[in-house]
Amino acid sequence: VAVQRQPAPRPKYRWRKVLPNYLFILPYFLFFLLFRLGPDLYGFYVSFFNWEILIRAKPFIGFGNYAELMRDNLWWTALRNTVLFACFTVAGNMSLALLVATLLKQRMPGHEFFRVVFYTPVVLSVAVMGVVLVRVFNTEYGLLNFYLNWLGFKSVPWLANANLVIPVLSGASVWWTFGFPMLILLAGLLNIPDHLYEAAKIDGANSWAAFIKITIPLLRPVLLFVLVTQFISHLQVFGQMFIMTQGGPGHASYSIVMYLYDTGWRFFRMGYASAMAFSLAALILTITLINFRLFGQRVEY
Amino acid sequence: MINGKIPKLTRRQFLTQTLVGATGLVLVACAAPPTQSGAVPAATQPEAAGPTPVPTAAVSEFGSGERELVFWHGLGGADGKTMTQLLERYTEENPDITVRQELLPWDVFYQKLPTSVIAGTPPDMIITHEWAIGQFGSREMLRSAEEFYTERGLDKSDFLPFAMNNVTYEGEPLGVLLDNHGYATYVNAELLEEAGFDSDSPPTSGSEWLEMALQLTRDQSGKTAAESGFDPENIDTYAYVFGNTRWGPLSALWQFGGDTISEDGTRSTIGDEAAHEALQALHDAIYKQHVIPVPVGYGFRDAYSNRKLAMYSHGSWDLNFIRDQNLESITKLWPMPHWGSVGPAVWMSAHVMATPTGVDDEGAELAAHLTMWLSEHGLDWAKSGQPPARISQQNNAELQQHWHTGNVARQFQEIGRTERQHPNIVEIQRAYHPEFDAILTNSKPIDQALTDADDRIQRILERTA
Repeated sequence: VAVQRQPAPRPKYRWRKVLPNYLFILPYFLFFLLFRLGPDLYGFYVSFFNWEILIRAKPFIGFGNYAELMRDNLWWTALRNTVLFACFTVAGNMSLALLVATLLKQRMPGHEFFRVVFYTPVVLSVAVMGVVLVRVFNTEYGLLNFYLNWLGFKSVPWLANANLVIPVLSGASVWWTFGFPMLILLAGLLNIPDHLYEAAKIDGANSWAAFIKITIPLLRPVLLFVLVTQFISHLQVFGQMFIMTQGGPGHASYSIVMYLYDTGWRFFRMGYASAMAFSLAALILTITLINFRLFGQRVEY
Repeated sequence: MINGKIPKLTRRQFLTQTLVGATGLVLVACAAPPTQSGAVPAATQPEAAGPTPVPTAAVSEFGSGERELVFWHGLGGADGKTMTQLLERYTEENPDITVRQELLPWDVFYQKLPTSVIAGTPPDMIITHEWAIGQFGSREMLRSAEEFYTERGLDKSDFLPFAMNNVTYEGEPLGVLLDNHGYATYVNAELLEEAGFDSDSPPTSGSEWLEMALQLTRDQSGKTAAESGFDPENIDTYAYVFGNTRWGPLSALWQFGGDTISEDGTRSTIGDEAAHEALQALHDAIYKQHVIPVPVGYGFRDAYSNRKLAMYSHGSWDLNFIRDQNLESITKLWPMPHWGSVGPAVWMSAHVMATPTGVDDEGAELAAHLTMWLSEHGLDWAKSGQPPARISQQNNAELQQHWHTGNVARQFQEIGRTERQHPNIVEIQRAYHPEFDAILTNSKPIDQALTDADDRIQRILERTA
């Protein structure tokens, strides 16, 4: 039987059909172009100049800012702090969010109340969270050390110890932010069909086996989404350090975005700050690609 | 398939909740903005003609005259109250002028000012700090203030020479000094007298100071740091702390004959022997003699209020804290402790009144009028705890007798020091301050921290040269 080929629609007709789609995205696209893409591209351009605010001479220095960055010890310190913070926080967030979401899925009494309670810290601004937690972690009059002393333990300099400060800030950030990945994971868990668990139960699988063999594989796309967005978010950490430690003690909690902020707005070196911004963007892109590569396979049953 | 049961939301519930939410938002939006006492909310005032900087913080307007002056500063503490009172008086005396005051946190102020100059919408007048003048001057952000000294009657020799020097960039003054502020040492006279010391006789040498500090530091069993069996792990009362980990160590650095950069601004000196000696002395006071707590994150004001701290050095602006806590009757003011081997020195700075580049002549004239008025009312400004910048006013008999402000003024005249002027001074400060922190928290060995600071500062100086 001869196959009858459909004639291709005429270009004018095709345009008329897709035009409303473009019109719908036009307002956002214009906003994106003017306030996001444009400044981003301009920032990239600026990163090739010795560009300081209100200094008339802005000589082109090619990759000079990027080369200086590679020789800058403080950049590497900030990079190490940022990556450590992001790894601790993402690991903590993912583990806690998955645990709590799994428990909430069991529909135990009061689960809706707990869902709200666990999500509540997310609505706090970083300023509020920071001010509250400084009071909690303060060495002399902090709530945590008050209870430690009450139990007979010595005070711990939570935010004044160079080895403790990043894990403490990560822990604080997990408490503050895990509610969002928890909700996403809960939605993912609720999407897994019950009949798969029933079939596994009939086959003799216990809860752990069902979790490992059914829940985790089927949750993989959601886990990937959470992993990628969490890394993107926490690699740009700023507020927690800025409010709680000012990057200290020493430079022990100095993050890339703090360094970028200082360079641009306190030292007025916009060219160097732009180079930092694009180096951070490259780092985020690399980590995202690695995450896709490692966790990107999709499983269907 | 979603297994979870989603609670049903009826249209009636949705509409009710939306209405409640919207009403709440409207009420919040209609609430009056926070204003200074006695000030008229800016929102109720007519807009000024011409480009006006967008308010981002506490905005207040004083007076209702036709000529409007936009005035930015960061005096948000107790001294802000005094400034508000002065502006009320100023507009009462000058009914044709309205002063629109925008109070910004200093950090925001220092970011917003350059952007306002670039955008062509700077305020008519600002209050900044003397150390910022080098940075602003090299970026041509401020108008010359030469006319104040040549035409309006101010005398350059009526100001502390090193402060005046910092307000001058490449030979041209860029502002008028409002005050001298800096470190003052607050002493709990009761605690000192209980320990057998005369609160009217400050120690005159480093060894005397240390001897006193050892007697004032007590553990929870009541033993002093000078006694055997003293438990440094359970200290109840400390002798002393400096409230800021930059200004305290800087004072020590100068007392040992050191500095952050050389006089000609070409060489970092933070790695020199004097800096090692100064930081070692402070480190020993914390970790060997245990008379100073780890100052990072230490709540010195809480400790002082609760008799857990005998002495602390912090800003002259703490006068109102002492008053608010009803501690004025038991507090005495001492000069900065002498730790160094070279001579006494104390960190100080100064507020500077200036007019940004891009302000039109009318705005500049209004700013000059208020600048002169504030300069002439220095003794009223001294009620904030900050000694006026003019030495002739500092030497006023009544001010000299004041237990706080008179003492502070004398101390600054005798041993006050400011940081050296540099176009990238903030970057230099950020290069050494975290390293001081690292030393004081025992996070880094002194040698390594000072070498790191030295490398960074040297690179900044070479780049600027």
